[in-house]
Amino acid sequence: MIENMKSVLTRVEGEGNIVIYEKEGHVDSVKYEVIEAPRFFEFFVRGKSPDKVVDIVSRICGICGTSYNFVASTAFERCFGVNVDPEIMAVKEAQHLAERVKSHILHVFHLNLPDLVNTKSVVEFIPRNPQLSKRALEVLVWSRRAMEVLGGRMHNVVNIKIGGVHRVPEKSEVEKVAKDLGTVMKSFIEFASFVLSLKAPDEFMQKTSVKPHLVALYPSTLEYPHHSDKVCMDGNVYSLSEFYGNIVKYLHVPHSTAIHCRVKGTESYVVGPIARFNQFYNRLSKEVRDFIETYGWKAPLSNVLQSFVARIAETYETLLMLEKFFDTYRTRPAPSTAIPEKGEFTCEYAVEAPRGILYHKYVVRDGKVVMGDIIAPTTQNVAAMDDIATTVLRGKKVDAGVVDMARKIAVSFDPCLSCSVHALPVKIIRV
Amino acid sequence: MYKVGVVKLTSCSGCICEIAYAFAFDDILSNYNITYATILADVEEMGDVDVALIEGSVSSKHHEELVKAARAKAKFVVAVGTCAVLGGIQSLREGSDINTVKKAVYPNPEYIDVYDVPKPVADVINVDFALPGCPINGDALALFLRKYALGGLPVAFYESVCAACKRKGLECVVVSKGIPCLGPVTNAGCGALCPSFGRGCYGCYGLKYFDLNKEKLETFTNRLIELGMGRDDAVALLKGYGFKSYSTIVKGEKR
Repeated sequence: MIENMKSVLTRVEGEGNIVIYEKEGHVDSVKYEVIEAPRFFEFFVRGKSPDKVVDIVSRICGICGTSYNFVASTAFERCFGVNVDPEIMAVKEAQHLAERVKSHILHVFHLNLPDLVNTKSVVEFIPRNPQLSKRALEVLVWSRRAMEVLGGRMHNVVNIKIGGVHRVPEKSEVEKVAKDLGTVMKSFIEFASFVLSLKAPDEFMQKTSVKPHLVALYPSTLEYPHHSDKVCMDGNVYSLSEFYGNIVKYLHVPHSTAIHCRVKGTESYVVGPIARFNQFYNRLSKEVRDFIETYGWKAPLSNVLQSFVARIAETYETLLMLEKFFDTYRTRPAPSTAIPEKGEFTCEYAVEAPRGILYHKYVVRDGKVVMGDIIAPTTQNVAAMDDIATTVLRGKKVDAGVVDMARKIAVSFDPCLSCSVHALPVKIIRV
Repeated sequence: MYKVGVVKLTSCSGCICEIAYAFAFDDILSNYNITYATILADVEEMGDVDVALIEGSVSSKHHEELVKAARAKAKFVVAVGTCAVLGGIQSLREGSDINTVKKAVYPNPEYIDVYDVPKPVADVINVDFALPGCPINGDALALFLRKYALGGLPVAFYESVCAACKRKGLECVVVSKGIPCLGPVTNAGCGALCPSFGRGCYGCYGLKYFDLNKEKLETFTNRLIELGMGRDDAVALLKGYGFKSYSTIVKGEKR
């Protein structure tokens, strides 16, 4: 039932199931069924003008929508030959960085922490650790304020356009969030110290050597991966079009409304915090590495269940990047940009969304988008999720422990099946 | 302590982030307990709740069953966000053959089982309160929860984004800069976000239904076109964020 095909895409958000295929009482394979109803963005961006597409695509993901605005607008800037002043670009980038803080804190605190402290949910955790919860929520609420000042709101920001931003916020507005960064940094450190002192639940993971490829964007500067036109897989560098056009094959499997991506059609790969952290650890600030290492962690992390360590490191790094941005911030008039009314353009770019590489490709003809291809991080990770869970759990007796581990593997990827994976209903099928 | 259930249908989950934000306030946490939310807790079925927050649009038979069950178990049902209230941006596929739509995205369209057109929650069950917005304003949700805990409800208001612009003292972007803006036909609630960033409103709180008809909407669309917006773009914004109001108005039905 599986077919190979050339270049389609899709993204996912929302509803999914864990399906465990069982043979004589033991696990044969594990699949994550993505049943979220698709919304067909690639269909309805057609015929729209590029500036409208920049706002529409942010609706693909409510958690990392800014990554969508960011990558679409930058892809169009590059193909239309729009030069963006670095200071204007920094305002656009800062919105994306604030989103990274928000998304990582939401994941580590609300979704991942229950697995690390053996509670059913964060709702159970909060009354048990009110002080610590407060610290995490302070970081979340601050990231929201930062996004409000820079982009208008916590998601579906309204201040990203082709050519930069619609308005460069006043210095006085930005100072309001900047002045609280010191306190927020302290709250973050307190929360992060607690999280880093926890052990990942890796009783099964240690015994197997599951090694999917690691793929992250290759930064053009010496910074930690952020946005780029190059991809780095296990140390080898490819252009986006080579990687997404030739190296990756796209499979549409019956159990999923998410397209699966595999290198050469067979090998799975991982994008996201662990892929960035393990490949570009030395690009993190010394301050961040020292902090992580105090708690006995460093790259390479040995398995995806330890991804929270990478998320903590990245949140720290991102807060430092924002600090630098605030320190040199000054307001200036926003640029106006003309979008070419004639001609055909192929536009592509990628950004490191919180969950991994988000790749967009558009064809624009005479001022209208005629084709859109969007490859979201989760689309790329689902095959690895299936492979890792199957390798780790194959042959184990089907019991609550197996189901629990399958759930934990999914959660550690932070898939954007709208995060509902925290309670994937479990199906057990005899084969 | 009020019990809250969060039901997620077809959406981007952005409104769920706003729910998480509203539940970062101490006074909300001390009055409400989320007992069901697949995003937050390992609970697979919703029990009886005081308030069900339903986010997203109805895309399948499975969703219809989900919302009907939620209605049966909840004392009060709130449709949260533009998808739940009006159908959401995914409604843009309306008017195209669903198989063509599926083929545009998937190599094996037969694997994909969805309704031709998504439905707002109120098309399936009776909804007690609606909060539009793409995403909703988390502070508005917090306000609702505070009022509900006191035994009341927020006062519903009927105005457009223009009213919010006036109150904020913002210069009209249409009048001063000739920028196309959907503010006059869009539900208020965002605090005139886009005009405060010097751009036109793009309608994400949905097309208001209470004082528009087909003629007025057509006149307004023509004005957007005069200001430089393409017709396809104008229709996509009006329909995409306001599907239920849009289709009712375009069909000429009075609501």
